[in-house]
Amino acid sequence: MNVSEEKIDNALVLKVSGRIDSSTAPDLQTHLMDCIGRAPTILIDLAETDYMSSAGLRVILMGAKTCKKDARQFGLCCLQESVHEVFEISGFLSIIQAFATREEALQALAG
Amino acid sequence: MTERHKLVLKNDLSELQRLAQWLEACGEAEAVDPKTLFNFNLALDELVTNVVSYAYPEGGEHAFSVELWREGGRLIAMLVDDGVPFNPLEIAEPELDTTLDERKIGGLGVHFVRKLLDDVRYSHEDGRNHVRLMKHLSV
Repeated sequence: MNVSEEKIDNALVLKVSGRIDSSTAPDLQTHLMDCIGRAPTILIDLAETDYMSSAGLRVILMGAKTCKKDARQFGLCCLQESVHEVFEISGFLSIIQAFATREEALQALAG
Repeated sequence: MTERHKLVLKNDLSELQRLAQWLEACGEAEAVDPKTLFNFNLALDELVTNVVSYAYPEGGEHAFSVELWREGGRLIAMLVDDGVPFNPLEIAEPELDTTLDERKIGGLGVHFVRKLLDDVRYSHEDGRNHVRLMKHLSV
């Protein structure tokens, strides 16, 4: 798993590539928690994330909760089909905003 | 019944990578569709994570195994470990219909296992935990 970040106006976009499982999720958690606090909007771009287990969902949930508590915007974009399915069966799509494209996400969250 | 593929794992989370690669190779050998393979990968990932995290509280290196085989139109996996007796099917179903604030993470891994497979069985035999997963292959 690799994480890179990009600042787009008021948003910090975290691009995650590879596999997020219980061996790599702690690394994502470190990156994400470090980012929150540096921008009013946090977007996680999952275009290159081809696998996520419940360990990854735990980190995403933690990020969403922290952002809500701090009155920051939080969202996801570009979920691949298998990752989308994981979010769907976990019920996360009704509590965390997920967008088809990065543009859509930035417009909705930071616009 | 086809050949039984077997993988021996250590109690270390870095083994998940090896599990994924092994499943990929088994999938190719048994001509399993990518979606079914993904379901087995996620389910076994969650169960193996539990074994690595909780089955050997005394620490030290331990080995446990996963087997995978095809029986007619069904794909079957068996995870066997000699750690603390633990039936994952006794984990309560998570509450999915909540607000963000109320949402808890617990039980999600086992929820995936139940949801993605057609049949999940647990038994404790000869001092070992056995979890058997089965899914019908789409034709």
